[in-house]
Amino acid sequence: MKRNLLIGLAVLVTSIGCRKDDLNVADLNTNPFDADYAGPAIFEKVAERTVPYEIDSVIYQRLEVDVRVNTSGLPTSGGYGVRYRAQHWSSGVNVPPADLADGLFTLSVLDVTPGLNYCVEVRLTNGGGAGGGNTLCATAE
Amino acid sequence: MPTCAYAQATGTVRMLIDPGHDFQFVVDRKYRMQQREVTLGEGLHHFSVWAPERTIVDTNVFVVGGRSAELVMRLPYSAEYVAYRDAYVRYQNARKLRVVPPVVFAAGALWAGLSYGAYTKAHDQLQADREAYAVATDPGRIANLKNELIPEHKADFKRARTSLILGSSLAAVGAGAFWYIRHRTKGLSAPTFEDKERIRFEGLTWIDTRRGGVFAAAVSIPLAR
Repeated sequence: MKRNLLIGLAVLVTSIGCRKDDLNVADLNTNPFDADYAGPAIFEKVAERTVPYEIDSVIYQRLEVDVRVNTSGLPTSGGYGVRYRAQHWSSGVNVPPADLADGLFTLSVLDVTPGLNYCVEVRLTNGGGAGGGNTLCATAE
Repeated sequence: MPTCAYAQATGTVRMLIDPGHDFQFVVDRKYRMQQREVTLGEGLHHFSVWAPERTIVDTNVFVVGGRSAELVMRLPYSAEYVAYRDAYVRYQNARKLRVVPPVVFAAGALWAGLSYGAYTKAHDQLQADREAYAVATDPGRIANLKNELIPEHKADFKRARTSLILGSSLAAVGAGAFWYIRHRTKGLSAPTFEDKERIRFEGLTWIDTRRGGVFAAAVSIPLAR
């Protein structure tokens, strides 16, 4: 009787000890769709260039950056979208889904001044919400 | 030659004794009786009154011819009976006490069992949350998981674990108390009552019968053991 009781108690203690609550919300940052994502960079700059464009006979410069999406880290289910926002801009730009078919897209920063460095915050999106991302910088020529 | 006949006057003694039933008495150290009224010759008579569990009380009653007297008396409990009664109360309490630990243990075990179910479920829920986070592709769903669902499920898990620990502790206390009380009350047996006053009372008293009288002596053997 006493031995059975001790065995039961030991099993219970072991069971309680084994089932630890090791799920820390602060450590949940490995999903690229998480706004707090802190893993390897999702977006990678492939190339950059500065091209002129004209509005009302006035010539401006546009900084174009080719970006590759690191799809290997994305969960397999579902698609994704991309939104980017140049720093100091108030609004973001959604990349058309058609442009993301091959995991490559081009983002543009309008009205740039040659010689200045511009940074763009790029984020994954889905279902209207913005997930993780990283900042890409390029210099206008 | 004239003759004179003397008839002794008699009086009645009514016995008003506590306890009101089952008492016996010996009159003048000779005649043992069990009745509520006795008629005796005029004069001083000695009474030894006894009832089961009570002590013998000796008293004298003066009987007046043609009159009725009342003997009012409360027989005190004998020292042996008082000791037996106390021992019996202790025995009953010990018996009741032996019932408590198994009940505590059962309640604790039931509580722990139910808590363990909730604990396992809460743990599984957290595992499911972790897996849901890994495969989620909706930032809104992820934010909801991290800000609301997971903290809620963590609180559930903590509550279930606390409940499990409390239930297990109660079961352990019950088991410990069970063992301790079993150990302390090992060999517990009901006390027996030996009515020594009865032996004293029955020893060497005269019982009047139609064929004469006999001396009676008694031996009490406790069979309840």
